[in-house]
Amino acid sequence: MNILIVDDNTTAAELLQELVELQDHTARCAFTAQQAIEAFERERFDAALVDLTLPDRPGTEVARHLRQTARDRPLMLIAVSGYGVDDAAGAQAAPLFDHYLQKPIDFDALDRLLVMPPASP
Amino acid sequence: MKASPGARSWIAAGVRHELLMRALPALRHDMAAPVSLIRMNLLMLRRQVAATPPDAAACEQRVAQVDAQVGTLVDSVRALRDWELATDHGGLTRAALVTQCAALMRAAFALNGIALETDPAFDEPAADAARWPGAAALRYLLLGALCHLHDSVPGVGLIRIAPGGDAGLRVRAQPQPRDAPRPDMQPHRAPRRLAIDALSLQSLADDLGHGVTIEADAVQLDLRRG
Repeated sequence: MNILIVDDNTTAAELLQELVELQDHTARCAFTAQQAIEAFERERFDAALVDLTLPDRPGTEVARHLRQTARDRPLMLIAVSGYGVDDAAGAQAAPLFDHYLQKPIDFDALDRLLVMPPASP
Repeated sequence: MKASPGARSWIAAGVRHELLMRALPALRHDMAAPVSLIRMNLLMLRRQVAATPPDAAACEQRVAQVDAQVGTLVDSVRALRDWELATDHGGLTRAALVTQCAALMRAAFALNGIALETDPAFDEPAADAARWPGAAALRYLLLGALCHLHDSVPGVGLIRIAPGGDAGLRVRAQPQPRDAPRPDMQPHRAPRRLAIDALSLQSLADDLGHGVTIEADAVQLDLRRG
């Protein structure tokens, strides 16, 4: 899979990139919503791991934009957040994503997701 | 029937609980983020140590990153410990109060399509800025004002915190501008069962011993007690 990692915490994004690359995926990091949108326009991704709290726009807006841009291409959208899926913030975001991973990330769960076929629109 | 002082204290206790519940995800988030980084670093460190020969410089870099994240985690644990009303470490400056509360609410507000803005004056606080006692009470008070405007002002798109005189804060709600730079942003708010209405905020302020002036789209807080 080619994976877009969107997180304003550069250390976290780059570490996650190293870890998914160890699982034979390819990955690229974006540290802002704008960078994520631009990267998605330039390159084809099978999955996007999106942090919900970004400095320029919420992760939910990134998810909407990526889904719209992908159109009929399969794309797996995974929310990654310190907010729980039952928190007010997480509960609103979850329906926009195919999967929701709460930090600290369960890497076994992530590995299982990344071998699944991306969701068709 | 008029609420007795005891009843008002119960209302204030309920409001504090609701505010803590709203702040808790951010507090938890601040703890989860460094733990996540520590786990990722340890996974990588394990691989690097197992390599033949081990890359000592890379291992050292991982250890330094873990060390830095443990420091961040300790700060987050301290922030949670200092939450209680009984705890006070000599008070805090107005700028620190604003920074703390804005950080606690910014993400939740943003996901509701509401921007939270702080006056630039808080970015460069004076070295001799006044420190206000009762940090925990002040946190509740400012969070109460923010959540009151979040819950009660229709069509709010921006909430701004600014100085309100020498010893106060003015929190003002503004509608989403028509020419907002994010045209695809769709505010969507989950129905909230326990809205912080004006009565709740007033009860909280009375119980904490601070003056508050509640207007239709703004709240003025007095950081002085009594």
